[in-house]
Parts: sequence; structure tokens; C-alpha cells
Amino acid sequence: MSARRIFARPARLAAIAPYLWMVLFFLVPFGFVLKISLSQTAIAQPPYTPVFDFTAGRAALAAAFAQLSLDNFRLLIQDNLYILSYLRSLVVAVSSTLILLLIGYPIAYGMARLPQRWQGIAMMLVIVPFWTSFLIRIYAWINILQHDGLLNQVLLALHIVSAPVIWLSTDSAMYLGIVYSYLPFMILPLYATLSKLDASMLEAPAISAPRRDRRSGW
Amino acid sequence: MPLLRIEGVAKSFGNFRAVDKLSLDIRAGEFFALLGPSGCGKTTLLRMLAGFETPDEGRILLGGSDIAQVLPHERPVNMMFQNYALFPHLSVRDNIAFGLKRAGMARRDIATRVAEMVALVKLEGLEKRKPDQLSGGQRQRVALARSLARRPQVLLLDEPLAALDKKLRESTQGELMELQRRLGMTFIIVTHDQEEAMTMAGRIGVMDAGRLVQVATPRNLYEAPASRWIAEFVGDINLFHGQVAARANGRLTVATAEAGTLAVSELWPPVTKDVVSVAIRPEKVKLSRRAPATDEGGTHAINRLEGVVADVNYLGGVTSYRVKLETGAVLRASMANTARLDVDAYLAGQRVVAWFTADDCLVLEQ
Repeated sequence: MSARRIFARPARLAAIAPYLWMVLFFLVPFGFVLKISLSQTAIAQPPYTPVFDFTAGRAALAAAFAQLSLDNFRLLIQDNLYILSYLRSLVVAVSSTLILLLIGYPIAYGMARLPQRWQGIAMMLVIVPFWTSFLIRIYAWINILQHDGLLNQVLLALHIVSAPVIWLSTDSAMYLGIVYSYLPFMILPLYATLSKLDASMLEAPAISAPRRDRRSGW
Repeated sequence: MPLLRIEGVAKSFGNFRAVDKLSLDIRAGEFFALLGPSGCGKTTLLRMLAGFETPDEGRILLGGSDIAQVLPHERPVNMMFQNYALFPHLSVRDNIAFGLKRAGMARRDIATRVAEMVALVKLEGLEKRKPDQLSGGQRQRVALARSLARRPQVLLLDEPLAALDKKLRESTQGELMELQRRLGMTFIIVTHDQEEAMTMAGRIGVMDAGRLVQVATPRNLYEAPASRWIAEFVGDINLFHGQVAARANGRLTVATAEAGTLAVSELWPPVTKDVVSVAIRPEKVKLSRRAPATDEGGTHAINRLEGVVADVNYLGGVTSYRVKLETGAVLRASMANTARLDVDAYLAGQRVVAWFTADDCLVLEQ
């Protein structure tokens, strides 16, 4: 009890710092964005109206407040461009997660069943690409996929296609990029769990039943 | 013909020889224990019987036929795993029914069999629980029920009680023995706990470094160990090294440096070497204040050693004493506390005579 009394006040004082930080760098900018969302675009400096001038007196400030409107939110609901792109993002997210799972699970499973000394090497191979900047890796893909890029050159040389294929700015390129970038994030947690799985969890079903399906017990 | 015949089976992992040309017969309906320190190969042997490992050499015959090429689930064998390996996403009922469902048993038969198994291991009312909603003892019962569900001829148990606390372990030992008797099934248990092996098994096979060093009933293993190593591994023992000085009328006289000349009854087969160890279990050493009468030439030759009680450990049922002999060697003795009041207790520092008969000693080579 006495210990709590001694520490209670300094602890509260110490909490002021993070509070201030949050108010200053989160709440205040959030207020700015809220204000902009209720404003109108103007080709001027500053680019939104109304402009609050805190030195102009109360009447001017009240007038500025009256000018705020929900027009932008109305547009958001009326024009289905926004809702459609939102839904499309969801579809892309779900399907790329499924693709990642399909590719990542077998890799993680294989890694977890490797002999101990190979597991470290396999893990390195998954992690090493992180040492190169994300942006550079994506630019490398642009190089491969572009009109006269590596992929098209190979396809033309092998006479698989007669004219260069447009890869960039297609759905396939987008999925390729997402899967490529996020694959380690799928593999590593799966590997962490699978490597902890006791071997007897595979042997228990093996001694009780034939491998007719893999519905239960792996 | 025994139910299970292991013939010269060997298994290596890299350069490590886990099981080394081991042969063993196990009869139908037997409760057999494989006992040994960790790394002795007992689990590897069990895993070969289950079909999880294939022997490099030798044959395993079950009911007369070689099972080397038979898959684990096709053998009339099941195994209870040390960590139970219950399927965490399945209920108690589905865990038990797992093998039956996969084997394509009819629904009604599965329900009957599962109910029978649940009753057998006394888990009534818990059928719908998931493994993480059960206590350690209950999980152990589910694992047992699952391994018995397909009615195997042989049940392999890998350290089945290691995860239970002492009291629960003791009651479970009794239940396993009762279950084995009732089902008439062959149980092979792997354990490093000699008390567990001695309590439950009819016969014990002691393993060391991949070899079977002795197969015997619990009593023979304890009272007539085949080697010094076994004598020391199973229970406590006092050992005195010496030379055979004389042999007469089935009795050896051994001259030891630490305990003087000891009279020992000779066992069959007789020892062939002259350098031997005399072994005596602590509970066979009696302590008294005065030396007992002796008839040197007669049948009841008694070994008497004088010394001072070095320390006393009261353990409830027994009290164990360490007696420092005049040579400086320490002799351990334990006496049952048959009376509530300590009229017979000795105190540290007290001079005592430790004595034991020639029949209570063992003479061991090596």
C-alpha cells in the first residue's frame, strides 16, 4: 500500500508526456483532416474554404463554421466509384491471402520437417530478400515485366508468343507483386507454429487409421 | 510360439547405434516393461514395434509373420504416446472414434464402441469436451481409450504416466494393470522409472546402450541382478570389491579392502573370475548395539561389520542410516519403522554393529 502511494504521483506525472504526444501529433492533425472533409476545394492559397481566422472576431468565426458542409460525404455515398474500389480492395486482399496460403503453407511445412541444420539455412533464404529495399525489389519486377523486359524476351525467344505481352498494370502483375512482397509474412508465422508441432501428432493418426483424407489430424 | 518375437533387431541413427542386435520374445497377454536410462534405445525399440521406424537388421514377428513391410495402422498394434498426442480440435468422443471412422465402421457400431471405451476408462459425461478442457489425468484416459478403440492385440505405452503427479500415477498404475488383466491384451510399456516397471509388469527387460542386459520378473531383477550395472540401476545397493579367497560348500569367502572378509553364498551359475564385487541391499543390513552370536562353520554364517552411524534419514516408512566402517567405507542400511515409538532408532555418532547373512549377499563379476 505504502509503495503504491509513493509511486502514484510520479507515475501520473510520467503519463502526461505520452498524453501530450498523442494530443499534439494525433488528435490535432486528426482535427485538421476532419475540418478539410467538411470544407470545399478552392483554387487558392489555402486550398480549402472556409478559412478560420482566429483573430477576425467571433462573428466571422461563426460565419466560417456555418459554411462547413457534409457535401463531401454525400458525394462519397452517391458516386459508387468509391464503394466499388473499396470492395475491389477487399476482394484483392482476400484472394491474395488465399494464394499466399496455398504457396506459403507447403513451404513452411517443408521447412519445419527439414533436418535441424537445414532449417536455419531455409529460414535465411526466406529472410535474405528483406535486406534489399522493398522499392528496389518492386522496380526489379517492373524491369522483368515491362514491354521489352526479361519475361517478354524469353517468351519471344522460345516462340511461345509472337508479340510482346502487356504485363504491367494488369491484375496478374498486381497479384504477382503482392504475393512476392508478402510471402515471407505468410511463411514465417506458419513455420513458427508448425515447427513446434510434435511429431507424435502425425504418428497418432498414422497408427490409428489409413490416410484416406486429410480432413482431421493433418 | 510367442505372440511377438524380436530377432536380432538393430537400428542406427547416423553413427549412433540405438538398438544393437536385440532379441526378445513376448507372450500373449503379458504385461512387459522395457526399463532403462534415457538414450538406452527402449523408445526406438517401441517405435519399431509400432512401425514408425524400420529395423536396419533383424526381424519382428507378430503371430509368426514378419511385420517389416506392414504399415503402422495395418498392424494389430496401437500406441499411447507420452504427450498423449490428442487431436486438439476434436472432442473426446471424436478423438476416440477417429480410427474407427477412418476404418469405415458403421455409425451405430462406432457409437457403441465409443460408449464402451468411455465407460472402460471412466470418462462418462465428458464426451463433448475438447482436450484443453480436461485435466492431465483425464487426457491420459482419452489417449488410452483412443489407443484401445480398435482392439489391438498389442498396446504400446511410451512413458504413459510421466506427466502425472505421484498420487495420480500410483492409482493409474493400478487401473492400467486391472484393465490389462480384464482385456487380456498384451501391454508393452517403456519407462525409466523402475518402481513403475516393478509395480506393473510381469516381466521386465532392462536395456543399456541398445542391448537387453537382463529379462526377469521384478523379484529376480532386484534379488538376482545379472551384473553390477543392473544391481546399481535397480534400487540401492552397497558394493564391496574384493578377491575370492576360498570356496567351500557353496560358500565363497571374499577378501575386500573396505569391509574385510565376507562370507557369501554362491549363486548358479558360479562365478568364474576371482575379482568380484559383493553386493548387499540396504534393507538386508541389520543394525544392532551388540554383535549377534555367530556359528562360523555352520549354515548361518553372519558377516559383522563395526562402525559409527554417520547420518540418519527418517523417511516415514523406513529410516535409512549411513554407517561409517573402520576402514572409512560407508555402508547404507535401511530399517522399516515397524513401531510408532523409536525404541529401535540409532543416533548419529553411535557405535553399532551392522550384520547380514551370507544368503543376503550377492556376488557379482565385473
